[in-house]
Amino acid sequence: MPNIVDPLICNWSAAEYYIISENLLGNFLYYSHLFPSISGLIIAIFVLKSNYRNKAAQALLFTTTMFSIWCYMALITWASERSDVIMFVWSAMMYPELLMYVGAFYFVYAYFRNSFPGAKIEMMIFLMFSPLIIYGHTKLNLINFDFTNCERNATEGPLWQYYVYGFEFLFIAIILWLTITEIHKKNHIAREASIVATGILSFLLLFSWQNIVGSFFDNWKIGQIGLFGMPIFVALLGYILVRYQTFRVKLLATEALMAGQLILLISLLFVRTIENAQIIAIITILFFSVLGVLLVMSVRKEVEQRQQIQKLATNLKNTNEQLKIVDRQKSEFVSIASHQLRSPLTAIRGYTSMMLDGNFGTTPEAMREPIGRIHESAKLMALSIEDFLNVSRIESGNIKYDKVDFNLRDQAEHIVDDLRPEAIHNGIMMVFRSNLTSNGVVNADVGKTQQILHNLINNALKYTKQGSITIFVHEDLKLKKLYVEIIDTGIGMSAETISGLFQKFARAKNANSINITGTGLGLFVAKEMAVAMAGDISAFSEGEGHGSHFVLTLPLVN
Amino acid sequence: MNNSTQAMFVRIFLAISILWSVWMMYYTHIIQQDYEILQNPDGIPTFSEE
Repeated sequence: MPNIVDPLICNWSAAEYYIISENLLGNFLYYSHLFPSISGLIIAIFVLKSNYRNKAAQALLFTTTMFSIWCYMALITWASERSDVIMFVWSAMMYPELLMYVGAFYFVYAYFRNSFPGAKIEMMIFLMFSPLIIYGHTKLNLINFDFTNCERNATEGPLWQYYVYGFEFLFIAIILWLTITEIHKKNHIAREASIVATGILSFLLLFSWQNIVGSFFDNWKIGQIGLFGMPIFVALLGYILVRYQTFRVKLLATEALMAGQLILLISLLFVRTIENAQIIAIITILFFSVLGVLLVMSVRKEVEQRQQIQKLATNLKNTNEQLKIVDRQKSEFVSIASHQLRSPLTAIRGYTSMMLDGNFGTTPEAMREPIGRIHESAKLMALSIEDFLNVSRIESGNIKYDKVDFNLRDQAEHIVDDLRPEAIHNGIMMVFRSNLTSNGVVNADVGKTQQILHNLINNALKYTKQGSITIFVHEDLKLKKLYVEIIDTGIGMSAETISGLFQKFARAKNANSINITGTGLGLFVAKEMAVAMAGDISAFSEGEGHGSHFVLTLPLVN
Repeated sequence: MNNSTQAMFVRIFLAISILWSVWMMYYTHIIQQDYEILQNPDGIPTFSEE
């Protein structure tokens, strides 16, 4: 004989699809169970959809899924007239309930640390579940089905009444501890962390409260309010999404509002009495006030930001146009001015040179020094103008390179020979060394390469007051590169100086202290030229007072 | 075997154990009907119209 009570004795109506029962129509139950579970599930799905690799989002969906399964099972225990179904569902409900707490713990853990707890913690959770797995189907879980006075409740045993609630409070404590630790770190997510934790803890505490009220005081009706912890949690989550853009979801609030509205409207169809409709209306107002205000805030913020960005973009475009015009004018000006300056300088240099050579008769001895100075100054000025012209050409893209194969080793040696008298005059030793197995032929513009080497060795001469300058030519056959290293024992450079050395108008910080003139354009021009010829220039120094080391690299021809 | 693989195994094992436990509950309560019913002494529950 089946061990099922006769529902007719107690006037119970039979449930269809396990949850649709005459007993519950017009009752608050459908609303309290279906609204929180469906709205929570929808939001969790949207959150995960927008960021499916986010571990916190994965844990959130798991938690809300467990909550929804629990809500559905709870509805069965309310609606069903069959004692065996109630006994089975009631005993199995512990799993979604506890997994929901585990999921909440995973959510908070992943939210703070961007990972899931490891195998050790998983093992401990497994051990905590083991008594339930072993004794879940026994009388330790549910003692009997209470049929006295037409009750339809299961009498809960120690497993439910103590172990399950102990499990829940342990997880609540762990989540609280995790949050407090995170807030104590005082990092940027401390405020966010406290909101997340407030949401999830109020949800879990209200949930446990409804079960405890039911289990210990046998009042399962008042407890239903506990389920509204879920919308509170979801609303706070919505706030975090909008305020901190945690999951980068912009449409989420709108989607949640639409879904919520639909569920609320449908739920009104099941309500018969005015009082129940009022309760639904109050909860609806609360829910919508929170999400609605958040939505309006976020939309307003976004519109303001967009307007500001548009304004800035227009300004930027105008400024950019103006800058382009100014830059073009500047290049043209420099080019014209340099050309205009160069022609008279050529005349000055030519005539002073002729005067010194005695082409206009013997120059009085007293005149020789002033004329010599005029000649030297004009030469320096011509070099500076050449730098300006080069910069102008590089920037306007008008510089041309006639690449040919030539012997760089020989070129470097010639330049060293040319400059050696000046070095000797300054009391500096100038050494040329080479270590080549190839013939040292590179493919580059001869004139430009000479200019670069002149510039680098001249710089070494300018900045070295005593010691030596070594020019070392070597190669890397594997990389097909030829290197010219210029190593001096001069004033050296700080790391800061090196970082800006190849910029326009860059000069060594300590250059002025030893009275060195220059435009600060030479290295900029040299580097641009080297790069344009598929080479490079790099600079090293162990610091001020420790000498400098420049390396010119050019492509080697086999 | 790295930590996350170990964790995955534990998770799968937990899921299987829970499913087994739920099956045992189904077997006990629905197939075997092995539970007691607490009734009023006369066997017929009192029922109030309220």
